[in-house]
Amino acid sequence: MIRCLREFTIPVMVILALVFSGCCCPKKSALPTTTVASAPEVKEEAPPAPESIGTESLESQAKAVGALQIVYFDFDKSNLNPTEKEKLDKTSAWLSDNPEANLRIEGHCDERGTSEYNLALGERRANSAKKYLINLGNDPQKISTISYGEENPADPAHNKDAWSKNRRDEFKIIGD
Amino acid sequence: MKIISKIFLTSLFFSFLLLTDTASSKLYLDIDQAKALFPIAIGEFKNLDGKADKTNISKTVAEIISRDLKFTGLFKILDHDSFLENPRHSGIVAKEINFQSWSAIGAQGLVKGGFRRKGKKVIIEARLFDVQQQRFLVGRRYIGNDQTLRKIAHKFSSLIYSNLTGEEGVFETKIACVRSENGQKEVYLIDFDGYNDKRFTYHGSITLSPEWSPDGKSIIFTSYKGGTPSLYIKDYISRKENVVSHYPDLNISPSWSPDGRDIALTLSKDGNPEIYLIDKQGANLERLTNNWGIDVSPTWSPDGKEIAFVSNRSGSPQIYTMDRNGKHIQRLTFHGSYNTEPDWSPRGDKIVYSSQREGRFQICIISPDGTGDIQLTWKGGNESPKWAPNGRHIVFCSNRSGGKVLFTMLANGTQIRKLSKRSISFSPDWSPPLHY
Repeated sequence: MIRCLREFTIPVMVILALVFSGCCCPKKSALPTTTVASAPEVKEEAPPAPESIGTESLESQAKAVGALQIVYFDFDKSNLNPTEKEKLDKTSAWLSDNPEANLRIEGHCDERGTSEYNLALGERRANSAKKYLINLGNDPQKISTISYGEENPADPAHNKDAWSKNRRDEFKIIGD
Repeated sequence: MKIISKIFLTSLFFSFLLLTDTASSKLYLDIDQAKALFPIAIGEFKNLDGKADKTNISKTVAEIISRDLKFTGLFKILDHDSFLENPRHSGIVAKEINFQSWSAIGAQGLVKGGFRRKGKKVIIEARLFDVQQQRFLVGRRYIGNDQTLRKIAHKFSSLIYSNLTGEEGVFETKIACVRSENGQKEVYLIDFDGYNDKRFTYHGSITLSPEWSPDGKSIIFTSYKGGTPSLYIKDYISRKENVVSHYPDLNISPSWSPDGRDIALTLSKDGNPEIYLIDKQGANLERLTNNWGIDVSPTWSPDGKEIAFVSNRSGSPQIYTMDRNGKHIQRLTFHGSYNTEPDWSPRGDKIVYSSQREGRFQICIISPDGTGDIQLTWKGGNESPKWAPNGRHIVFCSNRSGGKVLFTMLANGTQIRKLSKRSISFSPDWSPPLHY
């Protein structure tokens, strides 16, 4: 028995040496090391402000005769109420007298609800007005749409009055 | 007996010993079962070479680690006033620590460290100890400088957290958001704890819906820079940018697949806002929804097999789920008439969303099978929720203290904290851990 154990002495020493060299009680100098460098700085600048694209004189002429009036919508709705249709009738009349004008319809929402859903709703509102104008015989090629969702409120206040002013389509005459 | 069999038998014996002794694989903190806070003492770091500590490394690093761990809602950070010894002067390795003086004040965990300077470099060593078992658990040496102190502290917090809980912490994450300034909206990046608030985009226009890629290397976002809303991907390190989707009309609400290969988005080029897939080069367009309603805001399940999204096909905006190929569309939300902004937890078990309740928006969570609908916020108006990458925290926008400010909370709705004082911030998105 003792002879048997004695024969194990060397293997035990070997294993012990191996174990303690990789033991989970590291000396101070055995801590793993990580280098934490600063991130490189990248300089960037904002581009110059874009130039205005409105064709002002044509727009103000239109507004003087009651065309291009802002059209308003109910919450979460994109259908046109009768009073708003009357405004669009005036816009349509002016467009037929000015066939060279390019119209852009900008759809907006109030600040409540998701900004992403409101981008889609704003587009619906713009398309709603566009469809109405096309049905009155206006050229679809001369009418473009864009949605700003809740991103460009007319009134930045946080109350029902402001919200009702923000649920709208705006009408701009743009250059070619 | 041959010598080889002796070595084999002996190593078997020792392996058995080591395995039974491996208490470092023990879970100190089971987050889902924890009934009490884990008491931990974090000592100020010791100045190892005696040179002047002009940037107060001693206090700063310990404070950041303390705030990090407190943020998780799992730890009790023991008060320095209760310490029986001054960590600045006492030993920082196991054999030099008087563990009794720490167990006497109720500590279960102990953090100690030291630092020295080498020219502009700062070398910090930090160690975590098990006070009851009186042994070292994990440690690291960091080579950095005064500008990277916060990063170093956050890295060690990550090590502490993963060692004790078995999960990954959020200490090396950032939150992308949109800020409004001078009529323009640009993307900003801010550390999860509100520091290092920096501008990221320079479009001079309106940007929206930033989303970090799953590898944290880039951010996709919507921008009106080109006139109409298009999708851009900007690299976080190089700051290089390219347009990835600019079909006519809307290109909005992007969402990366969990494997980072595909992007779900909404396009209205076919006459109606629908959900599509593109790959990250913007190619391989695949249409998923086909319905008269508005379909927006896709979010992926963490296994990449399903997508939740918003649709008003029932007459009002509600949340639906579908397979990633567009099949098996099922409605998820039935409470109230306006449920949007879904975000699927990286843990897979919950979807957070905003819901109109009693005239205001609130943050709610629901299970993917439609059960377990719980309202998390009750004060003010709360929107735009997004999960932290470990699914344990939520970031959101709230007007509860005026303006529109970013807040964080734990997944159960407690520990609601302001992220940053800066107002008019929205559209947050939480990055994965950024290890660089």
